[in-house]
Amino acid sequence: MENQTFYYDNKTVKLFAYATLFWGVIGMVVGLLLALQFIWPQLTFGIPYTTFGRIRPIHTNAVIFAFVGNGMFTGIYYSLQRLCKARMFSDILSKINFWGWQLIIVAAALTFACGFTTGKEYAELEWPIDILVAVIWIVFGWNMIGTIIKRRTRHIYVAIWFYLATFVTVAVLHVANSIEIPITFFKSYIVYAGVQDALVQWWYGHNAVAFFLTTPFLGLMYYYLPKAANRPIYSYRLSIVHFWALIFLYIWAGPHHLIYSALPNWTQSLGVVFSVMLIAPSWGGMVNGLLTLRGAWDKVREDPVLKFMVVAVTAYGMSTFEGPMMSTKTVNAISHFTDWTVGHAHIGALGWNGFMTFAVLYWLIPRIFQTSLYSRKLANTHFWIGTLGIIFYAVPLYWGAITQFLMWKEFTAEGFLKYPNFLETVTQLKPMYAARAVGGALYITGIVIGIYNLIITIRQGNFIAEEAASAPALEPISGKRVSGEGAHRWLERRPVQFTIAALIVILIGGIIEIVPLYLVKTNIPTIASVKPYTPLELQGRDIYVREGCYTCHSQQVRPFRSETERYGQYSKAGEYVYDHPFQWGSKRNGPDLSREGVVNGKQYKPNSWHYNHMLNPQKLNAQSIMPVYKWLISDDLDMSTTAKKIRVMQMLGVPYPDGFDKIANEDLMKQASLISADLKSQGIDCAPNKEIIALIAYLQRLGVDIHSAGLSAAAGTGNPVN
Amino acid sequence: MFNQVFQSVSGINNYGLISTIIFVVFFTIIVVYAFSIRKNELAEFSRMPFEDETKDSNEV
Repeated sequence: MENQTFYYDNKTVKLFAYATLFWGVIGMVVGLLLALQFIWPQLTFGIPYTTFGRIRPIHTNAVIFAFVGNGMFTGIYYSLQRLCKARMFSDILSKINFWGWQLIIVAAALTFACGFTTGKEYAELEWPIDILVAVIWIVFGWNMIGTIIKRRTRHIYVAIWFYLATFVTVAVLHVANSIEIPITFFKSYIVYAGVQDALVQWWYGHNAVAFFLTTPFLGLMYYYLPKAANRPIYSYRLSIVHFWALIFLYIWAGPHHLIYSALPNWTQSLGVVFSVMLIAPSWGGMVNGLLTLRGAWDKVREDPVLKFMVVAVTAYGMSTFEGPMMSTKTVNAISHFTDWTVGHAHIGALGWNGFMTFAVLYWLIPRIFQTSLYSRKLANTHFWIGTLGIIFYAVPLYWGAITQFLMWKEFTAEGFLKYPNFLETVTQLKPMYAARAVGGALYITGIVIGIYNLIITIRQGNFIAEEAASAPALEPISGKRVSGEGAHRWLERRPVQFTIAALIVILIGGIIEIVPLYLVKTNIPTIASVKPYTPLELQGRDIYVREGCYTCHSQQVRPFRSETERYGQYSKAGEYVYDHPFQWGSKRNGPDLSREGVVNGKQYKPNSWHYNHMLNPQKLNAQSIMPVYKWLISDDLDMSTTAKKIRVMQMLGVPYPDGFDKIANEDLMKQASLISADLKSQGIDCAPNKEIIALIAYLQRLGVDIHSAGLSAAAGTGNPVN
Repeated sequence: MFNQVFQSVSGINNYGLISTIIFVVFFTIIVVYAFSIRKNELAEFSRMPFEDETKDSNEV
């Protein structure tokens, strides 16, 4: 066939690269502020927009979707065109993809700061932005598949398989986990409740790690590592097995985030088994990457790009061993809710995603600017400071986690908890939190050096927006299988069918795990004493969600003696049936709150304590790291939404009586007046229409419904273990 | 011992076993396919990242 000349679009690549650097700094500086708030809680500045609960989602979303997301798009837009020997399918779609993604990031940051959140970790965006994410993601997929269709190569290289799996799976996860009923423009209720919501959320959450942070970066590894090392991938055969085994197994592993929770045991077991099996394909990929450097390790000594890649791939291997290990019940019993999880997540984010992103940028930016890197020495400095930063970040958190679980679980010889006051454990951790902040600061310092190096590189270069290339057109071939062509070989040249095959593979795990939870009623035994929240409690719960209380407090007592002694009865599936969304949390920087309202219970505090605690936590205990929430005391409760909230809850199956929405505010004020009067009796003057009253009502409801005699037998979940 | 462990998990007969069988069958098919590909084809595929027209003169 005749050679055709065409032009690669480097402009979009450049824009995504700039956005990666910009959002990387923003996301990590916010992370550093969060780390410092553990040492100096005053750094919330006493205003709502900078409290831990509101800016933690800004940090996580900025790093995952803004820094890593833009880095992923940078790498994909560059490599996809070259692997397909074709320009991107549509310049307009590329522009929409870029600017739409940046709009989402800005909207996310603003709405989170204002407290507009769904309260689901890593899926906090409210419904209008969720819709925008879906649209922009489809634009990305459309542009990518269109490019593959018009390619000038027969075979679709394995890196693109990972890109396709990323597109289709993230689309499915995002849509399934974001089915919400709107109440206002920035408030909605998720359709799932309690345990079902938890399973869908962590099916999403874990697979966001799998298919947003892992598969696209494996695709990048399969392109950029051979390019940087100037040798083909070690085993293409292994990459095929790696791809299919990884995407099949990953999707099952979500329930390992819910071990020893109220989730049915069979689901937890499936999550554990598949998590452990996942080591095999993960390490297959790591080995394939590292062995690509066989005979070229001398280059690693010289080339900062390869240095970043080697540590990235090694961090991937470490994380994917540590993750399955943390999934086993024995390890999870001590690691869950501690800072071990945070350390584990950051080995992946800083090591695997961060270093791979910088490897790609250091390799790619000099090329599209037709120059060489300004300073290899500065790149090496970035590498070493960054590596030290990762170590300084993770090691203190591992140390802290061991301290946490040992203190949480220690009993005296007389059989009492040795550290019954949760705050004692927090106080012990402060030096580790300080060391973690130093690690984060080092990592950011490395990035600043890297950005300086890249800026000078860009300034000395000459940008090629339209890079000329030529290749023969692809000869037309039947869409059906040709003689002697196997099914998989056919798929390797059919992007749409390949995507559908990947979709089927990832759906198997989701369907087998999630669907029975809806169809088999015995999975969620109902508890007769559990009633819907009152209108005031419902409003209070929404304030709890708005302030991101779940980012520090769990609502899930595990069946361990150390937890039932500290908090009260362990959690049962049936007590969460009206929780839209569930609020189990994933770490405990503060105590569990699910038994907070049980009068005479282990955690009970009077209304006046809650009032004073929100007003000034450090006045009650100087060591507390809880932020102040004084605006809850001054701000009026928005009662205009009460009726709508009740109606939406009714739509979702919550058994409020017919017409209850019409008298909901009357009921709300009645209950609020009682709390206000109680506070008055304690010398606190607080009007019943203040937000703090609603939040107190919610906190005092927690655990009350199940605190009745004979409940364990009714729920049928056995006795707590050690 | 394994029998007792599996029996203690509610629903394992229905879900865990089916899931594992599905994976083993799927994995076997993929491995058989991967080993059926000719070496020259694998070499051709693995060299695809080097076939673009970008000049490699600007090494870092």
